[in-house]
Amino acid sequence: MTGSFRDPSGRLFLFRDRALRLANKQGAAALLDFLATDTAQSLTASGRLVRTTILDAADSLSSRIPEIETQLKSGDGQVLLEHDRIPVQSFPYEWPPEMLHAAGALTLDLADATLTENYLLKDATPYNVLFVDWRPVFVDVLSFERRDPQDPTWLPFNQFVQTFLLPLLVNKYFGFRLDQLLTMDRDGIEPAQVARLSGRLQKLSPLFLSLVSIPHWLNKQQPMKDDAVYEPKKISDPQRARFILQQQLKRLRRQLTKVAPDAGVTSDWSEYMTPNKYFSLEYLKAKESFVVQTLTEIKPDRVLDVGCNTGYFSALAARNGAKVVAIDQDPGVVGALWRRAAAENLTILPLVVNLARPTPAIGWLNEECPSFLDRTRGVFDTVLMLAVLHHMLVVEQIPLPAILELAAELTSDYLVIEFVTPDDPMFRHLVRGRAELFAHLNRELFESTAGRWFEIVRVENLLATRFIYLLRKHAGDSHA
Amino acid sequence: MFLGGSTPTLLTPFFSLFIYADPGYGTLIWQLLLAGFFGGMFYIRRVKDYLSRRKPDDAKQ
Repeated sequence: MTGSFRDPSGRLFLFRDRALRLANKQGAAALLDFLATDTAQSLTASGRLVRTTILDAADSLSSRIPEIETQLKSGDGQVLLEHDRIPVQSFPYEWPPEMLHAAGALTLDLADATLTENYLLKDATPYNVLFVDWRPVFVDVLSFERRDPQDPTWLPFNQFVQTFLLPLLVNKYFGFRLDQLLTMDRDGIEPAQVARLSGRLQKLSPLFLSLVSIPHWLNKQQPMKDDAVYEPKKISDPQRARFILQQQLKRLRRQLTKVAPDAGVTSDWSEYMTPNKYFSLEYLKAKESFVVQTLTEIKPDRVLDVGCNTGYFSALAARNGAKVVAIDQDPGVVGALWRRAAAENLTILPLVVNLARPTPAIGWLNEECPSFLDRTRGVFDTVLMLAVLHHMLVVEQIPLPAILELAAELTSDYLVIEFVTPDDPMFRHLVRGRAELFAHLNRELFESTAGRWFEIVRVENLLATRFIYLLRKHAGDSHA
Repeated sequence: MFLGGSTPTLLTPFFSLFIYADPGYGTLIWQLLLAGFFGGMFYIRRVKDYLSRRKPDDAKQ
């Protein structure tokens, strides 16, 4: 059991659907002081800060986790806390730029709001934020610490720049995807890396000058021994120190606005669902009708929409009362879906995940950030795979049984899946002359393969080459 | 069913992944230079506020 070894203030345990924190004496005292402030209570009430409650040491749960029981009995003042559980964790490398921007705005909002109570964030990383549906929630309550009223500096300033501003800047100006930038670099991007990408004139623009060129030039001047620069700074007037901090935060907010992703950016896939662009209106209507009827019938609680595109069907499921995790490998469409979910307050968590190459486990011993599959296996009662199976078969070259087996692992009950035959125009377009590879693929093969894990509840012919199925896991496999 | 299942799981990213945030030499120096600028602004604002408070008083007299 490794994981929270970096945190001296306490350890977190996830147990069934509960998130428990064992905090040491100092950590708990500081946290409880902070949570008692008006600002913390207002942030918790608005859902921007994760809700935290103190548990009775005699809580039956503590006896079921030996490490908690031992610590509580040791008598050195440890406190057991419970946080609201975030249903599905996601990490910055799975977010479209819109979500990283929203997480950055929340971080600055909280830093600014808590400043009035003389608190400040001791770190400023997107890993402090998780999303409940489209809404960012600050979860690292131990990040708040009392600030020295005379100190005008914010040490995580650099961390905010490297993990929020520079990745968004590189995404916006150079087109790099956030998963490319953040999967392997937990600490974000250094100004030197951006300087190498930037043109001469670009380096002189106010935004690049401030975020890239000046810090990069100053870094190069760093002497070997200059520890004094890292010592706490104090000025005599606390009001002036606070004013300086407020201005620094304002400036970071202006820069965050400048690197915000543009609305309405299109990608290769953003018009996939536009009627008569790729598909006829009749086909889209027939598919919608099948999905709506299915959702009404089965009333799913938790839905995974694989290859969600701009979230047409995710929105239908959300409006039907489901909590939806919508995944697609294209950040453009996922970003558009996040904007829509936020605008319409839909219960959708959109993520940039390719199910054929899902996010791996990352970090120390591969245990710090679990893989996408480890976080989601068994979470959903319904999985939607609409117009995505042929992409996985042809583009990703995943065998049909392997795809259906994974679908059966991901859903505890239903699978709504669209089967496209090899003579479909889109299938032929994807195959690009390798039609013989899929000559054996037909409805009978699909149905017999699916039959290993599912029974067919209903099937409808959308086009001559497209069929939509409602499948249900075999009785013994349901709710596995 | 949620992540964690029946076995208690320790998970870092949920809380305090970063205990120490590297202030970055260049960014820290830049932050200090900006702090000097904003510190100057603080006094300019004070003078401005003082003058704007005085003006209505003068008008009354």
